Amino acid sequence: MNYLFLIVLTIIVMGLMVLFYKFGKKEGLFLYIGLMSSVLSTISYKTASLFEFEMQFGIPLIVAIFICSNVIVQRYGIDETKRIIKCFAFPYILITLLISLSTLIISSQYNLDSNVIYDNLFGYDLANVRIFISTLLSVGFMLWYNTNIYYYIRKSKNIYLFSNIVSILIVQFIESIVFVLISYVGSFAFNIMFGMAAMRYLIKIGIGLLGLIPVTVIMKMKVE
Amino acid sequence: MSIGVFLLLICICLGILYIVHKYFGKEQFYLLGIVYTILSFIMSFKIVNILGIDINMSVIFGSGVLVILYYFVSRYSDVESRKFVYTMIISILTCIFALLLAVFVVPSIYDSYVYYQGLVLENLAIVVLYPISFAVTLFLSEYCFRELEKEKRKKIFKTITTVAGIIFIDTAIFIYFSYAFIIRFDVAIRILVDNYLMKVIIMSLYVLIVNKLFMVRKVK
Repeated sequence: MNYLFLIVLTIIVMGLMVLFYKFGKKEGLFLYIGLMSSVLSTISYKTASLFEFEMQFGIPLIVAIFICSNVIVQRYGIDETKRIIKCFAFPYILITLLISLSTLIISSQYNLDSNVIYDNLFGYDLANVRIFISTLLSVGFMLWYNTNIYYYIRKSKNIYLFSNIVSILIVQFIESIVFVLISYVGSFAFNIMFGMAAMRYLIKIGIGLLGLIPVTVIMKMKVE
Repeated sequence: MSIGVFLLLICICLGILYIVHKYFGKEQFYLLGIVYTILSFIMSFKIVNILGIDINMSVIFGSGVLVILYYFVSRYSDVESRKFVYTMIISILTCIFALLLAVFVVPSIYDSYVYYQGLVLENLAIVVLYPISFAVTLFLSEYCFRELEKEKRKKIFKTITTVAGIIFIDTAIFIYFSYAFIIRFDVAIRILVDNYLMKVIIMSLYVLIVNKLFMVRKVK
């Protein structure tokens, strides 16, 4: 069932990328990164059992951000790197911090169970802080690395599908290791962590390959 | 402490609006709108007690979205403000879909975030009614703000009066029916009155400050 949900989330996320490009063109793609980052900040703590390992459920959103950044670099060049990272980091940091801040306010006696759940879910907790930092660092830093790698592959061989696949293979490998190391070191045994990183990488490659469909659709659309 | 944090959140909401107005452009307002929309939706799951009144936390950033819409209608074309409304609705629907999928996923054995299920399933009325009230409020506000643009005299007073009316519809759909289902009908009326008064105060404050904001020269 989890795989089905993951595929549904991937389809929704990839469909939205085409929609945002169709109606917003370049600005639409930046907004899309902002939207994915905003939603990611709310579900990044959720983990699901995938291939018998603990996986972050927001993986399709992370891959979508990378694919979208590839489209931006392909269409508008490497100069947009800073803006891509800002569009990711600003909503992610702001939403996480403000929601955490809201848990400090004393809850009402009405709907008490939900208030307690809200505070536990989004409150300042070491596990939450680790996932927040690991997602921010792994995605933020890797976005910068991804745009550079994509740009240099594109310069040598300007075939967008090839550039996408190679950048996904390289960048997602490093991202998976960085994320698992920061999030789970000390909490799990090394062999489990290795499995987590490996599975995260394989799932990301799978989603990344699915992401080539919206990339192809966008590339066939007219440039502004 | 609670009042301090509550006021701090209001100041942050207005402060970011000011910074984006002064140093950035239209595109960043879209991004800010998405951030405020997601924030107001997630915060709508919590009710806080401030000075003895029970307030749904969505009032702060929900009002922020309305103020951005007011800014859009005042500054940009009708097409742009309609585009803003649709973007916000798509954003909230995306967040709801993602959250619902996260709820129904079978958690791993190490997963300590089973809270998601409790948060969403116990508040299913909020998940259903919040986007409806949000969409109705945005469409209604966009229409009213556009009509108010034609007014020449006592514009701010008329804007605040209109906003008070729109907020009543918003809170009646969202707060009353949500909490009537989740808690009880009589309690829901009390929460409705509390939220209505607080949101009108916050929104009036925002409108007054944003009108002053318009006078500040943009850098970009």
